[in-house]
Amino acid sequence: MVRYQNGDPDAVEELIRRLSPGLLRYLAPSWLPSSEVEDLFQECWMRIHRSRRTYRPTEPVLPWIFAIARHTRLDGYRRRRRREAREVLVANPPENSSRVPGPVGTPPALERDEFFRLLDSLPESQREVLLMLKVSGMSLEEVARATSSTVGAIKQKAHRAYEKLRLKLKLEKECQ
Amino acid sequence: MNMPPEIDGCKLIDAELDRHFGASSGLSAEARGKGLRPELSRQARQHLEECERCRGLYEWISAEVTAAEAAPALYGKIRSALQSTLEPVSPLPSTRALATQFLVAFGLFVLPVSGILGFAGFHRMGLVQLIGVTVILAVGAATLSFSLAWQMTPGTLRRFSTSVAVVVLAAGFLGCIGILFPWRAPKAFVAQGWPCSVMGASIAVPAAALFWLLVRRGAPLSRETLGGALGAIAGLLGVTVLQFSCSRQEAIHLLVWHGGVLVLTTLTGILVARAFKHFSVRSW
Repeated sequence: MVRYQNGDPDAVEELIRRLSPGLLRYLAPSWLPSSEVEDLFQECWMRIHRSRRTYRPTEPVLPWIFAIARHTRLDGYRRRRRREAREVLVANPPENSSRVPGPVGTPPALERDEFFRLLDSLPESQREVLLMLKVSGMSLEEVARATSSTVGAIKQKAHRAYEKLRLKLKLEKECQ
Repeated sequence: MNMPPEIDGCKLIDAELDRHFGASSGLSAEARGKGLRPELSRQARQHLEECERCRGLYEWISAEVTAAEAAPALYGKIRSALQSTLEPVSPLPSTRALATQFLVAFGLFVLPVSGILGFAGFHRMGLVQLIGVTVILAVGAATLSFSLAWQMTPGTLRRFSTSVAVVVLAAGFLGCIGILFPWRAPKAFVAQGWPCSVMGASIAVPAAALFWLLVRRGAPLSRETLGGALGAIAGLLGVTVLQFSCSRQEAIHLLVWHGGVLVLTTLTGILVARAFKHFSVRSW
């Protein structure tokens, strides 16, 4: 990150290679179409680039990156909602319509394995916390930094998510 | 590994997962993401054997996550976009240095404006009143300066939230004025009062612009929080000038017409930020 701030072009490549998988996972709930994920992903990197001087070398990098990613995602969500509200419903939508009606029956942006299927069924704030903890490998304090929250609040969200997951996993097992 | 006796059953598993994801776990980010099983104490392992619900959760949390990869062309596109505008940048100063800059700007703005409006209020106040009010205003300015400094840098650990800071500041001002200043009914309450509010709000507008110029060097993410904090610190600046220049030092006048400036500017800041958020697409 320091090399990136100093204008080293190789640092850009390394940063993209190392951070992109975690960012992609974070920006892409499984119901979002690939094209929108790619737009968000590009926008996120541009925002990171524009605000690179606000990173302090003494601070951990992941909370800084994910705080920016979080707001990119929120802005994307708001834009999407605004766009959908403006759209006119037609009687027979074209087959290749890019409009995504909801989580059910939509083309997945990334492969939907069991882990992400359950993760995406959680409320957004809990999903976000578990995603950062488990997938991005951040610590509780780093998640608190990235979400402008406290460690206590993050633990509480995680515990609520655990309880929901316990119930869902048990129900699924009983259904099988 | 000994766990507190009151934590048992499923809560024990939650606590062990907290430890696994805690800062002191010593696990690297990659190890956590790659499905390394959280280490459990003997009691927790025993609970897992008995509790099917927790076993399911533990298996889920231990699962290896498949890496997400975008098309190489997309990476190439982003890389070229970033490299084409890549220039060396100097990092922002520390939070403390940024907060000090806000405080200095606050002081440099208050002194000349108070000098122009006169120090009638300063001479009217007793020593205890002067100390009490100055402490509240100074603590408020320092708190809001730190809040703005934290907002300039994404991912900074915040000691308190901006909304808590504004509420505590308002309560402190209310308490200080209510206790230290006389509660006598002022003459011509409205006629003599509203010019104070107008003056305070007029001072707050250029002050907000000054603080905005300082803040925009960073990358504030939440516009509403930023709007509220900018409105609050600009309003506090207006209140500070009024406090030292206004000759009417009765509690009811200070609370309604001076304190009202703080409320008005904070709400205006939030509303302006909301309007900006609504009409713009980019975050900053």
